[in-house]
Amino acid sequence: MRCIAQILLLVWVILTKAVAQQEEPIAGSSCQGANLEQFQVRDVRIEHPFRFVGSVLNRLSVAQSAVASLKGKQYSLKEAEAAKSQLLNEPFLSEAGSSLVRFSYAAVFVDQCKDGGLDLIFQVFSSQVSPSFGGLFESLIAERTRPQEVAGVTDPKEPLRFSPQFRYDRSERFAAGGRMELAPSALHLPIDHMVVEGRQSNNSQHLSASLSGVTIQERIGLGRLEWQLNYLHSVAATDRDPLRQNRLLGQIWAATKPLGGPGVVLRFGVSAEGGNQHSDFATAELSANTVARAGYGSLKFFGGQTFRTRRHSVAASYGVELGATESGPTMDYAKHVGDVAYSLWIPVADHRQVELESRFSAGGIGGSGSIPAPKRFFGGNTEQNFLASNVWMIRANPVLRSFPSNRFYHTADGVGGDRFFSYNLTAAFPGPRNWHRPLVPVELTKDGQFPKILNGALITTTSTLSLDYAVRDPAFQKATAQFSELGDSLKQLETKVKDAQAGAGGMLEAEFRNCLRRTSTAQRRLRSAIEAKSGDLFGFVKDLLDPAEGIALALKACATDLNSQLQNGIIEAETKKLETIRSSMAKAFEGVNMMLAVKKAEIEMGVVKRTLNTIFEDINLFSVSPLFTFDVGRLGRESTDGRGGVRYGLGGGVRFTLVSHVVFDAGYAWNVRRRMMSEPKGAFFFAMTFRDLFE
Amino acid sequence: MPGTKAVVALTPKTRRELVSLSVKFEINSRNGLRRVIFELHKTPKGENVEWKIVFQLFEREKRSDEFTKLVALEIITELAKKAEKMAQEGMTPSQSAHAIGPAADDAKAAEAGEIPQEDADETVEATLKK
Repeated sequence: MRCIAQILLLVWVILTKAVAQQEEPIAGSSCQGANLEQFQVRDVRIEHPFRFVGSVLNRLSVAQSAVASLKGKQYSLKEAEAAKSQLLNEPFLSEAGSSLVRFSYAAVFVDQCKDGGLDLIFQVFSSQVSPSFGGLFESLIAERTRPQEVAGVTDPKEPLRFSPQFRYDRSERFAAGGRMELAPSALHLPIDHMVVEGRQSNNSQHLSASLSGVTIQERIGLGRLEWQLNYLHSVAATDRDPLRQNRLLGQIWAATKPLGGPGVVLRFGVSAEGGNQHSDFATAELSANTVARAGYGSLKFFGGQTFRTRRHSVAASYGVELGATESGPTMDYAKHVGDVAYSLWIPVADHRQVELESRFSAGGIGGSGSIPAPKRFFGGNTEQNFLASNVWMIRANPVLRSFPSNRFYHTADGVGGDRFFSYNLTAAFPGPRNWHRPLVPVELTKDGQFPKILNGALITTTSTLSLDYAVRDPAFQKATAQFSELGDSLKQLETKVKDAQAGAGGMLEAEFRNCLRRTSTAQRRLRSAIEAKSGDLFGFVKDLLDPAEGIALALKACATDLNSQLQNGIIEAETKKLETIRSSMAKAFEGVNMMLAVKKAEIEMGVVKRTLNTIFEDINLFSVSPLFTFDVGRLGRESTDGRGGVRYGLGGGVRFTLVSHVVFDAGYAWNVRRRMMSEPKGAFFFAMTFRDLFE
Repeated sequence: MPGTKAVVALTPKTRRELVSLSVKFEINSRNGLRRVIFELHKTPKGENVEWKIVFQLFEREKRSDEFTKLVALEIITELAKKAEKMAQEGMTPSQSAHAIGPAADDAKAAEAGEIPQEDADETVEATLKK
């Protein structure tokens, strides 16, 4: 306990020191009011927040060599502008995907105007965040570890990715492996990812291979629809004999687009799996309806909700598995799991936050038939997912970091729990100032222009998105239902005006020409509107019905300017007919609830806004954070000799993040309520994942 | 040395001077067949500032095709305040609708010789006023 107190004291000292440190003051510009053309360029550099991404760095290297020619020369606005234009059009963004709006920004700065020289700085940033991204609890991890993907700088469907993995656990010992991901888009198959993941140690194995596809079905309100075919072979170490599993799984799940004010995402799915589960436990060690090994088949149903704000994130999920063993086609067992996760970030200084992550999970298994022993609950410092997914986690075992993986399994009723609950709290504290470096340079985020311009880009995206909602408004559809009538009327008017012009003998030539020009423009707009599908349709209809554009201009030119002098009864009848149609359409168009359309777009974009804010204001390129952990868990019924029951774990460690390259948590947790001699006093936890090596 | 304290003098960071900036919006239609690029460039011109609009329209027959550039316009606008507002605050729904709708339509018509170029320039510039 003394050690824990010392760690907490250390954490407190670090936290206090971090809060106390302030940014250096920023003085006025040394170049303000200077005649820049009189200075020589001392240094030229390009700043890009995602320069750590391989593809961006390659582009920047090329661009840097292009602008390097400016160094040592007399400053020239023309040359600086040319270089800026080139940078603005550099394809820093991934070309894949179908973002509604892509945004690029380039700016020229000068600094350090002294001794006849100045520094020339180019700032560049591009983004194409997809509105459907990031509503999920698990997307927080993506933001913090793969911000370049969230901002659309890299393609989530890179053709090849490889991430090495290393972990240590006393059950598993030192394990090494990796994950290889292929995106076979070039094959024109409905498969987005082929993933092979493997890990091996002296006493454990994990091999999985999967094919999966992801799509967005906006028409039915789905922000994500994912299917997967997955094969798994695993040998999971315990302190005795390992738990073996081979299974084939087919799974499909969907998530809605963010709903309502807070942007709640509902998700649900089903999977079917079959295979075998083996262990070498003796029958005497198992409870009455449990078998050491069996073939099995099962159906899983699962659902949940998730939502997040800038500083809070919540996910709640429930899953049920209905399984049958080899003994027959009837349902032999039912397994239920529930999982609630909550994360909170408390900013304590610039780019420094206290991160609190908590998770409560519970489950039970029972039934009238045989249950394979590995299907029961085995606890420890490794979490098991009820699903086969990297995007949605429903924790399906008690996690206690003070136990090596699969070492918390003895109960009064035998090996493996028939029910459990566990609660885990992880608090990561910011290290001192030099233990982190912001991802986006402070010069960019604190600059007066850039945050405004970035916000403007988000507004543009929201505006464009709102047009899609507006054209689905029943009032808009009522207006466009009169397209055919409007087309006929415009055509008739044009014909009658041409007839009148032919008989006018050159009179009112300018008026005739203007009337025909305006009628022609209105017809062209209508043709484009008929061909248009979404947001552009709104623009054409708005222009047609605008009191100062489109049909109104045609009516003014033909009825007011021309026919008031010509007094042609046929033209008068046609213009009146056109005005009636215009009025009817305009009345319907006025009924379009634009505020609702904008509101819907804002809800959809709220997730994006929060994501970008996180990238710009919270995420560090690297950071080192001290960790504090607390766990409590209960497994099955407790016996008098200490099997099963409640355990507590307290621990500390460190979290190191190097964005895009590596993330690891390492530490030690003590088993505070140790009831059996065979139980560990505590356990080290360590997991290291390298990011994509081919990025 | 005993009895002395090391003093670190913090040099205040200077605020760099912004010379010029460019903002580029690329708006893609939902069906993926039309792309409008609307750029705003702010550059110093003597004592004043000049705003330039660059407008480009791309289309393609099928999603699998490459985009073809149909139109590229450059307009020096007098609407400096409106250009500044759009660069900093983004496009309103009306501006976005106008850019991908009538502005693109007229630019294309001018390119095909159906309307005078000045009319198309006027429609594109009117995006700022929407």
